[in-house]
Amino acid sequence: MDTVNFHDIRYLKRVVTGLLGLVILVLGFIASVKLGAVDISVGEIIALLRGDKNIANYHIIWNIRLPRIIAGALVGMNLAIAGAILQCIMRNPLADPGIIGVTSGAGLAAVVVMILFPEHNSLVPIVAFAGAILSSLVVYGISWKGGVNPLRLILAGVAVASFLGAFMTVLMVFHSDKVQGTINWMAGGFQGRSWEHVKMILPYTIIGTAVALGSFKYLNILMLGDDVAKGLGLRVESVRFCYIALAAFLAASAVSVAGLLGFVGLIIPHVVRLLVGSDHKFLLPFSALLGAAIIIIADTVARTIFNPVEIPVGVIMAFLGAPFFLYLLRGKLRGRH
Amino acid sequence: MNILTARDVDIAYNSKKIVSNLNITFQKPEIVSIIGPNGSGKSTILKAIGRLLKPERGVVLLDGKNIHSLPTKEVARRMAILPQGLQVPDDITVRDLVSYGRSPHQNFWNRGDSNDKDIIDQAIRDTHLEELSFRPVHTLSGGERQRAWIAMALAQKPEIMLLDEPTTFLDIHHQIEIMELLSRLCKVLGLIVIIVIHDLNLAVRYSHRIIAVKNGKIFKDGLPSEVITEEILSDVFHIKAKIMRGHTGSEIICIPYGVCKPQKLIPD
Repeated sequence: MDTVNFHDIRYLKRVVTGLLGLVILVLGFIASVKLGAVDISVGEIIALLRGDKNIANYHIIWNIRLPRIIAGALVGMNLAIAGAILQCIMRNPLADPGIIGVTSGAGLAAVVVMILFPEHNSLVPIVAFAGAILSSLVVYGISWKGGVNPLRLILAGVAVASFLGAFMTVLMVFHSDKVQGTINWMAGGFQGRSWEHVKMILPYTIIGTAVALGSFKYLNILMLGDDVAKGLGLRVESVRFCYIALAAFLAASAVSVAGLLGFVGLIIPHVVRLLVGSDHKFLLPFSALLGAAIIIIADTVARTIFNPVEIPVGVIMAFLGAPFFLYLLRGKLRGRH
Repeated sequence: MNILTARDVDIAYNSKKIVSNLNITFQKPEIVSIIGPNGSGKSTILKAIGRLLKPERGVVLLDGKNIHSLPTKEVARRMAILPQGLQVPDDITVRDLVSYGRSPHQNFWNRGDSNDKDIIDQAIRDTHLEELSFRPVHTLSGGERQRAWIAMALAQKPEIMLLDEPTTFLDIHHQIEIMELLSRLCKVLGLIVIIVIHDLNLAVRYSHRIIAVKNGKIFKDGLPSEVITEEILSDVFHIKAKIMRGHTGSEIICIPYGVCKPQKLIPD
């Protein structure tokens, strides 16, 4: 019967997507450990995973590749979950962590440090994090008027982003000699990321992911509109504030580690929605999974394709991801006719 | 038993008063229709009763307690509200939607047990959606979709159901089907059903009481036969209508045949 079939297909899609995502993640992980300036054999990887510290490339794997891979995976999870949350609560497919001011706040704060106080470059992650949180607070504050409505929030976000962006441009114009040093950070990437960076982002990923995945049903209800959600007993304003705060922390911690990495927060939730539907019970975990997998793969490509020159990982993701996304979208649109 | 009362309620949007001095009481079980011209404040009244709008003055009481000081979740366990312009994401199935109706009875840790499942099944059966329960809501016809939303409201296990224009945009068959459904639910479950509706004959046929609203005030609140009269329709809607009564006097049919001060739309 066709009614039952639909249900089965949806179930099957979820299982297949989950398995595929896991396979891609594991393969990406192995490839990322293996490939690079020094090629590492699978045997060595297995030996290392068993705890053998006496292998020749221990230092390269343990201190260079692994932290970079894990930082990338965590950043991917955070951005994808933040994007999925924001697209839901804004009820806008174009929402991403940039929309609540995270990107512009982090960008300006980091550029100020990199250009005006280059001697304090090590503070960039913390300052970027603070800038992101601060500017998302400003966006939320501006759009508050006895409540926050999604459209006002989006417009406030755009206004704040262009305002802060203007400051950033001024800084860059007056210090054009120092712009070179900021480009990699602005495009986003994982060059030289260490266990320190993993430690910085890990608590946010663990807590943020747990809260987001655990509270999926509030997001499902918010999709039905404010009035229906209120009618179902949801305190819409408080819940929305909590989600914006959650998304801001997830995205801010990601940006502080990876720089201004776009794309993941916007596209991954859409890809996952096309694959498994908009039920957040599945959308959130699969977004996290795919976000992690995509960044690991893109970062591997970014550092190996034009070896020894590294391309910013954001560039790779846009080149590989955008056509794939369009392919999915076309299939979906055709399916509806 | 009076379980829902609005007392001296004023409602304003951006300091513009939309509804003033509203006093209504609802008793179990009854179907009450709110009628009135566009912009008269019908939906605003429904939203105020359903605690979606906070009154400027006055209180809405649920069992004697101010509805705005009760936890909204507790209210949702007793009252379901379906506003206008309902929308669902493309791939959400009827069963998904109905299951959302259980959320006021759940919390962060408890996410549904066999009891919830039984209630969802029952709501789907009550609205005759068994065959459609795994279909995406957006692929259903208007009448089926409306039934799915009513099933969601039923899953809340409410005593009171508020519906804003549940029959608008439906063909006559589905309009009657929805009204029959509401009337059965009212009788079997002992609900208070409050609806905003435009079709006067449907309102008369299925309501125990009709409230006519004009310019944000209750013009007349009473039995259908008391409210649907030629004078009141002329005052409230500015229409000329012929009211025909059956032998018992409780059956009435309203046949509108013109507007009161006719404006010349086409010059002679």
